[in-house]
Amino acid sequence: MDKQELEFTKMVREYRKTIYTVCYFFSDNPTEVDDLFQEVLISLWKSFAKFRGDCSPKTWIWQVSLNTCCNIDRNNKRRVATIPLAIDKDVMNDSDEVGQQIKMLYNRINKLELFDRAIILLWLESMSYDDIAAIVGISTSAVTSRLFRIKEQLKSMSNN
Amino acid sequence: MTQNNNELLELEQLKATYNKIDERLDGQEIVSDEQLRKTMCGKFTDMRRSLKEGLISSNLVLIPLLVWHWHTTGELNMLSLILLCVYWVASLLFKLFILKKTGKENFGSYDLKTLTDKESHYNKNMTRATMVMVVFWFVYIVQWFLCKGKSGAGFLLAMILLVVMSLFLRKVIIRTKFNGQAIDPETGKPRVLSEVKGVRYFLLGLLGLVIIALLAASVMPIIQNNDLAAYVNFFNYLPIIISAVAFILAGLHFKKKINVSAKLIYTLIVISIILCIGMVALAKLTTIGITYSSGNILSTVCTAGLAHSFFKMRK
Repeated sequence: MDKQELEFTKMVREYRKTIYTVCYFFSDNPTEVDDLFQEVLISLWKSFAKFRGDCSPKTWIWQVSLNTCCNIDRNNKRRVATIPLAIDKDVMNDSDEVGQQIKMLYNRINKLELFDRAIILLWLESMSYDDIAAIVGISTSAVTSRLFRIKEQLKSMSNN
Repeated sequence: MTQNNNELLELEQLKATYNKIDERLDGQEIVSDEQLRKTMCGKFTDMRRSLKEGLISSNLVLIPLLVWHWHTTGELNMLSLILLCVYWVASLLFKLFILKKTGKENFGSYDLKTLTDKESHYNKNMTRATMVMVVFWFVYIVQWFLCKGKSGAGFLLAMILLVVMSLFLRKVIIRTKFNGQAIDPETGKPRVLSEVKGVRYFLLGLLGLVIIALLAASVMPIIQNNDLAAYVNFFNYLPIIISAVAFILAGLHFKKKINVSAKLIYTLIVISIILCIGMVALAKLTTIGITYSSGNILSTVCTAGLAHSFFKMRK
């Protein structure tokens, strides 16, 4: 393993939970999480050499992960054969109260448009509006108005 | 006021639930080094599959069909034939060469860097081959239209005008409707004309007119003269109509407007191809007036091929 590969592996290990969470909320079913994770890894590796540290690694990971998940879903591209992740498949099950809450959150976010999903995930991650704007590529005021609308949508889902 | 507070509390609860995901994933390995390598190897499997599909659809089906069509219609002059043969041989050799080379490699034994380098190397070659292919087909079509004489040149001119006009129209719409933003900031993708409601309806109307014209051309003779020849004429159009239906269904399926089963799409494709072959046999063996030509086969096969591609594009 060369230096670059070692650095990349270290970074992926450090932010694996972030990548997994993005893929989880962008997937339509459990097997698709593995599929998306794979594509995000490839995208990350391909752009790793160009990453100069202009933003924090966390912001960069979010940006690449969200872009990949949004574009894959939009283009419906044919993807490579799935390689299952080394994760306990029951980790997100809804057998207990926390699991049920996570499932409820998943169901609500899954009903949103792809772009809105990306914004709400970044808000849930407690990122500032400026950071969200930088990651998704729209103005801060657009983030504010969009977030307001998304929150209204989420509230109406809970009322229903 | 209380309701507002409850709603805010609920949003905070969503945030708390989100944070619990992090706790749940603690201690999970999720991804291994081996997995990263396997992922890259999967890319090569996909590339090999695309090459094999290209070999079958282009070299074994489309080009031989084109040669047959242009040979029977007399539109294939010596220069076209030589060009087509050179292209056929070159593309066949290229695909076979890449397939053989990638088949020999043991991608699983490479490290991630070597794998990525190899992937970009093959991708570069594939892009170059695609560029050659585009240039070839452009040159080929231009000279094909020109050797058809004045009407062919006129048709070519009309096509070029159509492309220029649509590009101009796109530019005008982007300037007036989207304040000069050619890229959609939300999707990061170039804007397309069909985004605009009016243009979308115009395109749908145009498509509708083509379908109506196709149906009218096949049904009108039966209404006007209720004889065998009219019915035969209807059968001339039947395969292309069926493959067009498959194409429209596959397109709607791809756009996620409807869900169509693979069984239905492939049944329609198979029926249209079988009918095609049947029509050719009838045209050759009987004198009942079936005029099924190579052009009909070419358009039916191409439409069926497009239907298949669109259907496969949605996962």
